[in-house]
Amino acid sequence: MDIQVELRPHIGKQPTAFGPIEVEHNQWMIFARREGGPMLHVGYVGKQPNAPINFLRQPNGQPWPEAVKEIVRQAIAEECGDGSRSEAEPPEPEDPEKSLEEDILGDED
Amino acid sequence: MADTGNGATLALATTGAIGNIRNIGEVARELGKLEDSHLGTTSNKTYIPDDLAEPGEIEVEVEFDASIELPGVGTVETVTITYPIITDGNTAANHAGTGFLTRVPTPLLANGQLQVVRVKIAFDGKTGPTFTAETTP
Repeated sequence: MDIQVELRPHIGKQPTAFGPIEVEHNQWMIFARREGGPMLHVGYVGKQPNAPINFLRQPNGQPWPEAVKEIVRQAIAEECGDGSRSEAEPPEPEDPEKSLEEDILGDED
Repeated sequence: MADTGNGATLALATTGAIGNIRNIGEVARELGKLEDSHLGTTSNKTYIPDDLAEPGEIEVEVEFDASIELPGVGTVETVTITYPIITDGNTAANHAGTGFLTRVPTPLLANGQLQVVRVKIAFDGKTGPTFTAETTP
């Protein structure tokens, strides 16, 4: 499965007397996309060593399939030089009737 | 636009998972008021805004999971609440800042009752909290 993973710094805006200022949250926002598909926000990971990956839900509310999570984990391990990150989201039972392909392509409609 | 909370998540950058979340409470940044009424004031008490705001706390109801370690209190970490996406393809809104767990209870154990706990997290006011509205990626 060809999924491209991209890390972007998580920057928020805080109101101040001088107007909104940018605040860096010391964590990466994890984005991923299939070739030609939309870029989707799949989770967060702290910039500190061994930070757990916090996966979000898919736009349809389902957890990301384990295969996608594994690709994300590997990409982050390569990007951050850290292969020991653990899983933050508790494992949930996968729906065996729902194929991986459906999970990925189902959000592009 | 009205929406439900279904699909919202809580991310703790160091602690990680604390179990399946049933609900995430309001986060209120609150500014106090200082009474500046004096002997010449008439009709109503008068006030000025306090100098510093409270960054807020979150109460999170979680299905207790006895198969994972209890998270510790007091670890300062980035706390991120991510909202459900309103428009497909967008990046969800989020509320983030540094904070720490202040309350990690064990559940009431009873027949016919889910093991549920109410965990508390306080924003420390050092970084954020910031609210970022849903954006197009």
